[in-house]
Amino acid sequence: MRNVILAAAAMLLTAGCGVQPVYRETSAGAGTITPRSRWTAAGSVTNPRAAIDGNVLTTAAGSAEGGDTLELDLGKACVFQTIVLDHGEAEQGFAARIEVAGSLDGSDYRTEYVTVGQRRITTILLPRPALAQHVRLRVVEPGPAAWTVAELYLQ
Amino acid sequence: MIQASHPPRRPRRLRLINPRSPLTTISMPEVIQKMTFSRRALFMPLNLAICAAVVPEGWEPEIIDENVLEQPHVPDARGIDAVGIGAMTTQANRAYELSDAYRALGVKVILGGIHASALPEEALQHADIVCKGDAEATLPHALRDLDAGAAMAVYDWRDHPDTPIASPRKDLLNPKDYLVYNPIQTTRGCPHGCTFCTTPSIFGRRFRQRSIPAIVEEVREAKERHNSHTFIFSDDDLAGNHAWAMELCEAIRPLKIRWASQCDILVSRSDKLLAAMRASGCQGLLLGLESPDPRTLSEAGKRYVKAEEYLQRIAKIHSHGISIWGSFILGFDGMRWQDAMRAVRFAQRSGIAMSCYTILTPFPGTQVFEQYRREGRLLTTDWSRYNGASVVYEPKGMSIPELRHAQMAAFREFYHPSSAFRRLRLLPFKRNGWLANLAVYRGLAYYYARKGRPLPSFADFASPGAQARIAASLGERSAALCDWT
Repeated sequence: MRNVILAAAAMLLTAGCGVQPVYRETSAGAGTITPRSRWTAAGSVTNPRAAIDGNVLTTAAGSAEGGDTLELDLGKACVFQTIVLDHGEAEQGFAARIEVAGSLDGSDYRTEYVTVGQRRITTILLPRPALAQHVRLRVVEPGPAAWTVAELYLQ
Repeated sequence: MIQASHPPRRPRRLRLINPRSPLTTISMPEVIQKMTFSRRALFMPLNLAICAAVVPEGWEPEIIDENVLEQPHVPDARGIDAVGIGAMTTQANRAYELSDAYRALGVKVILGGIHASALPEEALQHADIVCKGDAEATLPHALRDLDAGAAMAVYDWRDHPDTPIASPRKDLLNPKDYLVYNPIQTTRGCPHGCTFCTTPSIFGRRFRQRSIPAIVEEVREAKERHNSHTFIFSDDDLAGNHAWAMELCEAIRPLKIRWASQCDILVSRSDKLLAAMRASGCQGLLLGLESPDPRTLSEAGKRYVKAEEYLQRIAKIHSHGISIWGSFILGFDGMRWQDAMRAVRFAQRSGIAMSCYTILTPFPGTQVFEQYRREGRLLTTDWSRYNGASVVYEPKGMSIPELRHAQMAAFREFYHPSSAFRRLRLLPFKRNGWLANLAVYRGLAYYYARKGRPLPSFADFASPGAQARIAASLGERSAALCDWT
């Protein structure tokens, strides 16, 4: 009985202490990021839509050779400075180097940052806030395994 | 017959800039001011003084050191033909800002220094020319080619590896701005290949010495012009070549100076060299000890020495009357907070006068940088955080807050007055050692008092509520120790 009580207490204490959502919907306002439900995804990866479907079990998959792209259309120009890539179960599915570029019109892209990927979750903090409707991620240098993006978030 | 005469071409002006270092903003400025007798910066930019010395004929150099300016330098293209910027990794962001601004003004920019040498492709996104390695072997060629309209993108020192090390143009800097105005370089490179060090990544294992007469002349000039009698030989490994180091000591002995430098602990092999160093005025040596743990030493690539020999080698150096500043690195994969504590206890037992505890920083070009990049453990490429005090990678043996706390606890416990007493004793009275130890401890205590945070201690790790105590000391908003920003 004591063990049951202890187990119940442990469950109560640890409730909510599992994996926290890394993305919070922002309230409407000029430049604020549109809800993910309004984004569209494209690029050279297989199944790009999986990166924004809210399901970490589905993945946008690239190759092990590098050069893959994942492109988002946010629906309108948004200001963001953080990009989070959850690689899901493919912990090694990060890029050794990844380029972040933004565009207002979908054709003229400006490189915001080139940085390293991290295993399990790649968090990219841009040196300065970016304003873009179209966001392109490109694998500049491949990592140890095929590039995999389970979910992508912007803040 | 009248011959057309061409007016002499005006000299081209090269502006050399030392970008602001985030290291100057790690501590509160008033603490730094108190510790440096109100000088504006610790070290004069020797790299730029050397660049100024090697500009070819037809070029005139000027030096701007942002670290001694009240306000950041505002790029201004008037009257200059090119800009040269030398930067360590922690200065790279600011170097790139300045480069971009000058290029937008139509000025050619040359980037050099450790960071550009390690990542020339990145540097070329912000500069017209990158000089990799020695300025002596690259900058003159770059400037001549720039004059001729035929400059290349990258100049590599290895194309002219035997270019002698130059004597710097210190006359272009104000001695009153610097606590250490007379750093003198006597060697370049290092014969060892530590995994965390940038020197082998840029110079390989190539180890060169400067002309001894040139060194003697530089010391003499400093004595005459500035009445200097104390010098820092700013080398990676002054005693990398024992025979040459002996010659140097014999040559500077008549100058009756006092000096300190850095070298590896193998200097303890030679009583003769140690005696010569002491006789020539050596007061102290900075030794890269890294850790008293053999596994960590192996991980650090320090295979030329055994950890179990450390105490006896340190004792030998002490026996010649030379003080030691021991440098330790925290955060290698095999290291937990207990190992950090053991490093401090070792330092205390060994009786060394000073020590520092740097957080492992995977500088670009080093083996650890490549390893952590491959493993996806680099957390950021915001180069301003590559400063030895921030954790920029995912450690294995400790959490990030634990590693940060261990570093500050190490400083606090080593420099505590009771520790200073056990190491320095009262007799013979080591005035400078006591002053330095008390100054560091006072600076720490002042810093934490001003921030309203408790002084860190290794006991915090083992206490009930350890997470909360560590968070409080770090000034973290919450006890959730996964937050590294």
